[in-house]
Amino acid sequence: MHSRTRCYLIPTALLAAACAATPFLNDYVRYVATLAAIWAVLAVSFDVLLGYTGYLSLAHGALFGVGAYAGGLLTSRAGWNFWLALPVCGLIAMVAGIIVALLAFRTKGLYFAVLTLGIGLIGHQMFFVAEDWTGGVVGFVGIPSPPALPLLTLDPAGNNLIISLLLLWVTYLAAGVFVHSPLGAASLAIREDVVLAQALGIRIAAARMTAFAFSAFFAGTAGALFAAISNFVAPESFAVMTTGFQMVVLVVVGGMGTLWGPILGAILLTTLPETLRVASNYSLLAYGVLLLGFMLFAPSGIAGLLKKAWRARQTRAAVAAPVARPATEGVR
Amino acid sequence: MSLMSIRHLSRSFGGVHALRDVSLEVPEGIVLGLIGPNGAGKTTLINVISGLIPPSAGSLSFNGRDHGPWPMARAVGYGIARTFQQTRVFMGLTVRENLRIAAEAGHGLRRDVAVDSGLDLEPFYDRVAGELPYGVLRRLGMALALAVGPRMLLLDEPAVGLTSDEIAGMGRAIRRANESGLTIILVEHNVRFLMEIAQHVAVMDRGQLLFQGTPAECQGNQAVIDVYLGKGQADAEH
Amino acid sequence: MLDMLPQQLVNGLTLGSTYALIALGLTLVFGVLLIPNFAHGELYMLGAFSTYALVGAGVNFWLAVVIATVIVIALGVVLDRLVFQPLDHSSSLSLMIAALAASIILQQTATIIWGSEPRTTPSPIPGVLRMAGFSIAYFQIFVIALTLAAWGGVWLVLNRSRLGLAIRAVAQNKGAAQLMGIELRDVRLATFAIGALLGGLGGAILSANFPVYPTMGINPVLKAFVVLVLGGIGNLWGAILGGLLLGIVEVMVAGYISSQLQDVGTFMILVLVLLLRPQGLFGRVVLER
Repeated sequence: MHSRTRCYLIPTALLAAACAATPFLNDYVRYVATLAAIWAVLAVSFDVLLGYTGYLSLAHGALFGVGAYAGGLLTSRAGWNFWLALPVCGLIAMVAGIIVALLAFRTKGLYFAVLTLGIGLIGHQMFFVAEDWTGGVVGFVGIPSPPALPLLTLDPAGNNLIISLLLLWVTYLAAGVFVHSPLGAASLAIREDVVLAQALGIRIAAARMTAFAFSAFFAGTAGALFAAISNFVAPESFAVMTTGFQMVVLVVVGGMGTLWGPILGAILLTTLPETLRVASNYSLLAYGVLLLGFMLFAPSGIAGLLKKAWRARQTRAAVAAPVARPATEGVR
Repeated sequence: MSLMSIRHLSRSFGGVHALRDVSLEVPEGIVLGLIGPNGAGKTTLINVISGLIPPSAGSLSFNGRDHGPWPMARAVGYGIARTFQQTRVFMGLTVRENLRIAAEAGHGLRRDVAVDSGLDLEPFYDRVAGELPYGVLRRLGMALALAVGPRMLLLDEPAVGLTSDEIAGMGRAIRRANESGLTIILVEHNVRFLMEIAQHVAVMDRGQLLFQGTPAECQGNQAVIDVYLGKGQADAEH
Repeated sequence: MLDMLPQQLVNGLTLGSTYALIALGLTLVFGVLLIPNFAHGELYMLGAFSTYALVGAGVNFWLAVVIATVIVIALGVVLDRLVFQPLDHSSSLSLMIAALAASIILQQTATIIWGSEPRTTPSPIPGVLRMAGFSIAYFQIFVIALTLAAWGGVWLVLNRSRLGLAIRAVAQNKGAAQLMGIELRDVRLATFAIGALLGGLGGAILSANFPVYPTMGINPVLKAFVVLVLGGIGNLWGAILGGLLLGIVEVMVAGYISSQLQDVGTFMILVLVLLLRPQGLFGRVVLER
C-alpha cells in the first residue's frame, strides 16, 4: 500500500533529519530534546493502550519505574552491557505489566482505571519499601551512562539524544506494525464496541493483553534509558499522580489513537515549562487544566485540530480550482 | 444433512422461561425462518445459538461436533455469525474500516464481501458509519457478519425499519448469500417477507417450538393461525 | 496482643466511617448517574480544608461544618455542570479522563493555597470515655453515629420520598423514567448534591480526627471503589458495611502485621475477590454507558 510505505518512510526521514541536526544544537536544547524523546516513547506506547484500545491505565508510571530500577540494577550492580540490558528491562516491565493486566482486565471501565491506580500507588510504595533493591527514598545512584554509539564521535549529551531518538523511532515503527496488524484491528474494535467485536470472532483477551504488554515493554525500555541518562533515579519520578497522570495528558493533548499526535504532545509539554519558565508547582495544575480543556473542547487533541485544518485547506483548494485538478487525483 | 442440532434447549431469566425444551434440526444450505408473536423467544434462541448468552439446559451441536455452550467469539470460529436487532456497527469508523476489521481481526478472509454480496456499500466506503442512514447501516451490519466467512448466518429482524425498496434489496442479498452456500436462520416479524425467502419455517410461541414446515404448510396450520389470531393474515397484507 | 483488639476495633470503625461515607456518596453518583467521578475524593478533601480554614478563622466548629458542607455541595454541582454535563454524550472513557483532570486540578489548587503539609482541626468534643478494655474518644463515638445516621438518612430519602423514588427509577431505566415525566435534570442535580453532601460532610467532620492534606482524598476514594466492587454499586448496605469492615481490616493489618503494608492489605483483598469472584461479593451487574 502506498500509504503504508509512507508510514515508514516519513518517520525514518525525520529521524535522519533530527540526528543530522544534533551536532549543531547546544547542550541545553539537546537535554530538553532527549527528555522530550523519552516522554514521546512513553506517550506513543501508552497511546496504543489508551487511544487505540480504549483502556485507561494508571499503573504505567510504576511500570516506567520498574524498567528504570531494573536498568540500574542490571547495569550498575550486575555489570550488564547497556544494549543488552535495555530490551531486557523492557521484558521485565512487560512481565510486570502482564501480571497487572491479568488482574485488571477482570474489571472494566472505571474499575479498571481505579484498580490500575491502586496498583500504581502500591508500586510506587514498593519503590520506597524495597530499599535493598532500589535505594529507597534516597534513590539509586551511580547508574552508568549509555555507551557511545559506534562510528559517531559525540559528546554524552549528543550521544544520549541520538539514542533516545533511535528508541523513539523503533517504538513508533513497532506501534505502526501493531496497529496495522490483525491484533491492532481487534484492539480498535474493542475500543469501539466490545460486543460487536466478539460477534466478529475477535478474541478480546488476547488483543487487549497484547496492547497492554506492548505499552508495558516500551515503558520499561524508556525507564531503563531514562535511568542511564540521568545516572540516578528516585521514587518520586514514578508517582501515579505525576508521571502516570502526565502520560494521559500527553496522549490526550497530542491526539488519542493517532500515534504521532502523542509525539507532538510530548514535545509540546516538555518544552513548554522550559520556555515559559513556569514554577513547577503550577505545572501539574497547568497539565490538569490542559487535559480538561482538550477533553471538553478538542477531544481529538492537537492531531485532530491539525487534521481538521488540513481537510479545510483541501476543501478550499478543491473549491477554488476545480478545473485545474485532474480527475484521477481524488481528495482523501 | 443437519448443520446444526438444537436439543432440548432451555433458557430462563429468573422466573421468566424464555426458551422451553426447544429441539430443532437445521439442514445445511437452507433459509430457515423463525416467526412468532412478541416474547416468543425468537431472539433469545438466536442469542443462545450465537453464544451471546449461555443456555440454562440443553445442548447444541454444529457441523457434526458437540460443542456445548460457547462464548460468541468461539462460535464465530466454528462458523456462526450474526446480526443484531439493534444494528451494531462501529459508528465512529468509516465503512471501509468497519469491513477491514471484520475481515482481518476475526476469523474472516473475505475482503470483497461487500462487493460480492450485492449489498451495494461501495459508494459509502469513506463515509463514517455514524453519518449514514439507517438502511445503509443495516446493510453494513449484514456485510460485517458476512465478512467473517461463516457457514451459518443468524439474522435478527433484518427488515425492520427498512423501506419496501430496501426490503427487496435485503431479500436479494439474503438469497445471494444462501446461493453461495450459506445456511441462514432469520427472525422476522414481517411475515410476508419471510415467507418469500424462507424455504423452511419454524414457529415459536411462549418459549416453545410450535410448528415446523414449509411456508405453505405453516400458513395452513390451525395452531399457527390460532397463535397469531389473524395477525399473520394482517401482516401478509402489508 | 489481643487486649488491643477492642481498641483496634474502635479505631477501625472510625477509619471505616471515612470509607463508608465516601462509598455511600460514590455509589449514588456512579450507580444512578453512571458518572465515573474520580474527583469525589477531592470533594471530601475540600470539605476538610474548608472546615479547617473556617475554624482557623475563628468560626465555631459545628457552624464551620455546615458552611463547609454547603460549599462542597455547590462545588459538586459546579463540577457536574462544567465537566460532566458537557460530556454527557461522550464515552465513559472521556468522562473518566475529564474526572481525572478535575481531580488533579482540585488537588493542585489546594496544594497551592495551603501547601502539602498536613493540618489538623482541634476536636470539638474533647474527652475520652474509658471502658474496660479500651478507650474511645467521644468524638469517635460521634463519627460512627453520624455515619450510621447518614446511611439511615440516605435510605429514608431513597425509599420513603418521592425524590428517592425518582432516583431509583432513573437508576433502573433512564428512558422509562423520562417517559413517566421524571425530570432527569432534577434527579441528576439531587443525586449529585446528595453525593457531594456525603463527601463534604465526611471531610468536614473527619478533619478533626485525621490529618488534612491536599492528596488526602485519593486513598479513601480508592478504598471506596474497593468497597463498591465488593459490595456492588447501588448497594447502600454494602457501602456502609463494606466501608466499616475495610477500616477494621486495615487497622488490624497495620497493628498486627505492618503499617507499611496497610494499603497493600486492602488491595490484596480486592485482588483475591477479583480472582475468585469477578462480579464482586454481592454480584451486581456492572452497568456501562
